Amino acid sequence: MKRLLVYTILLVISCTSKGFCCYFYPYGEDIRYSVFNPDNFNFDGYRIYNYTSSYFYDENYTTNINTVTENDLMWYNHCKKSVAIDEIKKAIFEIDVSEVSPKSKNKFIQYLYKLNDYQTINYLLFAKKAEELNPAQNDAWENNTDVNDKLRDKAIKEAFERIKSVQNVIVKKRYYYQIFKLLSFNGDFKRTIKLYDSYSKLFNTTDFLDNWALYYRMQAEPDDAKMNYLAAQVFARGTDNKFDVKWYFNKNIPFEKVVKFAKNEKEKANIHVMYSFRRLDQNLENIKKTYAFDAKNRGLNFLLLREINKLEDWILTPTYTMYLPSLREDYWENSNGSRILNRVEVDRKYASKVLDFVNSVDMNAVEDPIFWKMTKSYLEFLTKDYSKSLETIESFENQIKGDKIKRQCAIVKALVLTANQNRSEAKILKSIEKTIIDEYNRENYSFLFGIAKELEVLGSKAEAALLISKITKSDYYDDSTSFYWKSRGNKITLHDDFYYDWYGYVDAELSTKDLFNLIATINNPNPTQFNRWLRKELYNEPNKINDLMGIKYMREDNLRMAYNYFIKVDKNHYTNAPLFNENPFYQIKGYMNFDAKQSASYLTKANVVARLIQLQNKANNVNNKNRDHHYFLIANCYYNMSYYGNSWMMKRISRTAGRDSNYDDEAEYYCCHQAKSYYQKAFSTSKSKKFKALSQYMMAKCQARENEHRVISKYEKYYYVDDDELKRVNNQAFSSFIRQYKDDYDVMSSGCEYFSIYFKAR
Amino acid sequence: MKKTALLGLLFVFLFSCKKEHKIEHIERAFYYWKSERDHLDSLEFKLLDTLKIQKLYVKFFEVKYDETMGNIPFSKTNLNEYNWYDDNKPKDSLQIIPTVFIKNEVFLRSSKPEIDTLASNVQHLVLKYFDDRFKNYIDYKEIQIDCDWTLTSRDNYFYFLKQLQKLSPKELSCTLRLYPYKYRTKMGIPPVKKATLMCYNLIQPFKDNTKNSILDLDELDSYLTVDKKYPIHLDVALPLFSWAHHYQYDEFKGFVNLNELFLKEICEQKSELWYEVKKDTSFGSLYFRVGDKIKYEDVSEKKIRNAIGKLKNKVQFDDKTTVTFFHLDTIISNKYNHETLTSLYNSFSY
Repeated sequence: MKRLLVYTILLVISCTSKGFCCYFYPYGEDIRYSVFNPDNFNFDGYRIYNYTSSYFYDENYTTNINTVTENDLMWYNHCKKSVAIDEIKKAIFEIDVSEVSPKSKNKFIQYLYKLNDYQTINYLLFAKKAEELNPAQNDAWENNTDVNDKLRDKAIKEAFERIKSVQNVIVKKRYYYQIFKLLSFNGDFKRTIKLYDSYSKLFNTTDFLDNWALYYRMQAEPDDAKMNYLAAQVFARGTDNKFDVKWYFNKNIPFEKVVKFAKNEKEKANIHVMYSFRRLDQNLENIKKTYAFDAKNRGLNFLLLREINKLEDWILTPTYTMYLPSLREDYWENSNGSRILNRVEVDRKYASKVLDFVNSVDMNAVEDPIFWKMTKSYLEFLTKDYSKSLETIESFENQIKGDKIKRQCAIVKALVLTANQNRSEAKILKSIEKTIIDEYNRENYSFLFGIAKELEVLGSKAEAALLISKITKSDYYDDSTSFYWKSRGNKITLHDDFYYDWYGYVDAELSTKDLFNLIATINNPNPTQFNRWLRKELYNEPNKINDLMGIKYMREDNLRMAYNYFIKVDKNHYTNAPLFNENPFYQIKGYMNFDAKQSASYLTKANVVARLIQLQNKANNVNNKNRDHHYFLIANCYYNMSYYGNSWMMKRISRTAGRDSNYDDEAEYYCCHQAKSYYQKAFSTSKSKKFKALSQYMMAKCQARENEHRVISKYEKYYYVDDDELKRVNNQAFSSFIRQYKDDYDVMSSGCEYFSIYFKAR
Repeated sequence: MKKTALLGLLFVFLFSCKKEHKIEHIERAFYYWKSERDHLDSLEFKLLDTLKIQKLYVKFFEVKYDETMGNIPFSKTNLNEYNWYDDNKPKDSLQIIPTVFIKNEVFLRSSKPEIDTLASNVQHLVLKYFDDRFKNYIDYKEIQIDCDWTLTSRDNYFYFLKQLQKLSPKELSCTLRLYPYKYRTKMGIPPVKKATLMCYNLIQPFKDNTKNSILDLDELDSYLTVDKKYPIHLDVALPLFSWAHHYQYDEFKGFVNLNELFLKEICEQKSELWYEVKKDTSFGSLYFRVGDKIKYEDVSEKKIRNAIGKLKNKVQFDDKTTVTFFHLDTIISNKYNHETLTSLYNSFSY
């Protein structure tokens, strides 16, 4: 519980900025997993309401030069598609009224003058001037609040006059648009309602301008329930004004009151969409009702898309990252590893229900049946019915038109094919290699991460690591494409409880055998083109890989194998020069230096291991008279290779670690069992009273570490350890030594130099 | 023979030296032209304090002509005494002088009744802003109007000044460009009691690529050719600022406030004023691309001293005159130390 609290605080702090690495903790979109990409489907008008944890709306959506709105398209068609849209945008939104002239450099303006299209030019000038009458410009001189109302009235009159002489229907409608807008600024709702009545009789169409007219009509509605009904109809029709509609929709008004205004089934469906399009919880019931009223409703497909994205977040985010879904507020209930995965199974059952519904749908009745079939195959993947999913994909993949949809299909298929393999035989299938490279080139790293995680679940960690090496960067705090995930055991690794790069992942998650397989793949003398691409990052990191392998063997106490890998590491690889600050055989970190003459500067990991092997050989020789000495040196080295020593880097890539980490030798690392057993051997083989006393002292020291570890492990995190309890168990470890060697203890306690005297007294 | 030669030399000396128009009593002032900032920062206060500045001409707002709205104020100041700390407050002796910049188009496009309204609006807004924002300061005694008026807008502009003076009990002053100073008969004398001679931005920024548009001494010389005293009291204003013109693909992108060191770091100097960007660099919200051209205009201390020398030689100032530098900015204190700035003010009097 305390850990949760700490993480929550970190999480809140991390919201301030991603740039402050000290406070960073992944959340929200950092962890939300999704490959069912809304951009691959034709839901542009809804994109601002995509399922996401970052509710950020680009305020400049309509004016942004890179987005194409219905307004832009209408102008584009007006000039018979002969002027680029960005030129049109500049003419509409950027160019000042004074620059609208035959001399203008803008292509759209030039086009209008070239065709003597003065109806449009005059409208453009009018619209630009009317722009100055927006509410932000109210009472510029701060002395006359209704000055703008009068100016707007004047402009409305002028627009009505102009409408009389304009022939072009679209330009005529645009003047009406300006009138509706100016009436809205003046809050003249009665005139708006009256004008809309006549407008809707004049123009029996549903284009972009009509949508805006309906929008202003909705805004003027005095009855709240009817306003909701109108908002639903605008929302169903409009695209450019979808963002604004939501400010007028009041979800607290009962659905039944609103649905009474609906004139037909389609309008009822629109109301269902409006009432449910932002829901973050299960929305299947509304989807079903919308389908029942209007199977071809554009909003229906969007609701289904959101449901798929929700299911990805609920099922795949926890499965792949071991984080809770990014948009669900059940943090306190489901925070530990097993509960997270149990909850996934609950959500998978819901995915089955959604799948049942999709299966029940008449594919000929819905809009965009390929989209529905795609969701079906993906739902089958989410519910782990892989063979069914592949059947579904085969049934429609040849009918797909459009690159984006094809791409989406290939992504789903690759995930299904990967997941559909037998455990321990899983690998990157040849048939998905092209998709992997294509998506990598498009920087769709989420997809590669998904494949990696599917392989990991199936036991192919080496291939998972290779894929992860393609998508993670070392400077993770500044990298927006980074991934953060925890170990499946939900244990703490290194200084965080999450991985962010291949290095940490390989270090903590891969076994020695996994890493051996990985090295074999990296060093394959005859790689395929795909494998050459796949291994590139790791192939260029032989020092890191060999060092990791050496470390893994050290954790297993396989000194010879460790030596074989450490010896391959370039001595310049380690940035700390010299790597060893203290000689691990003669100096105990902190205060004991048994022989000050022994240097550390020449030491490498390889020659520390070699020395250790040499000392073991000597110590194991019963004829050796210095066995006690050699055992003692070995013990020192083991002590120093623990968390408390000066040579932790023999077994770790970083000293900072949580107590509940993911390594196999965790107990040894904190309890110094091996060191203790070698001190015991030194004690047994020594004949010197003083040396025996020193060996006993060191054994007590190792025991103190073990006792401390037992206490600390009781707590979820060591920040909360009770210092008094620690002192007590520490004293406990030394109590029998003090009883037995009271005088020696007093001497040793009086100065550090006595340890050296005791060491040499042999 | 020797006597004749000496007399001759004395004659040459007497007639070659002309009397300098020193100012006996200098009132030190700054313009403050920033609109977005809502407070003065501590370095700016320090400048006001250590230099014993008596007047701060604060641009309250600008006025433009809008097709729909008519004459409207914009770029209104956000400065407000409530936003600065008590211990930073300038001395009581500091006068905040409301200054209003009016675009020339206003007088080209407005009718007399519209100008009447404008005068009333300006008077109202100045009064309102002073009351709202600087209530605890000593009451202002002056309003300054800044406008690049021309011969065609002159009548309306002068009419405006007269109307405003009628409405306001404060002393009205205006700025005076060097052109109407030189061609005073043709251009007329503004109907106010005093004007500030603006000795900077003598050249249109884009008119001549080879010249420094902030201050060009030859250009200054060319206007200072009238010996006769200007009919109304003259104060004087000089530049203490730099700016950079940013061009991308030969298209002007905007004025940028760049630090010279930064400029030299990202650019290669191509000529006295021109630089070319050598590495893609972002600066605030701007992005400089390789190949972009930057014209960096700056005014050195030597150049200002030269300009002051010329002004003292050619312009007859009254004994008590305000010397104003454009404009109060912390960059000034990075570039000129306290002694230099003091001596620049004082150099009008010795």
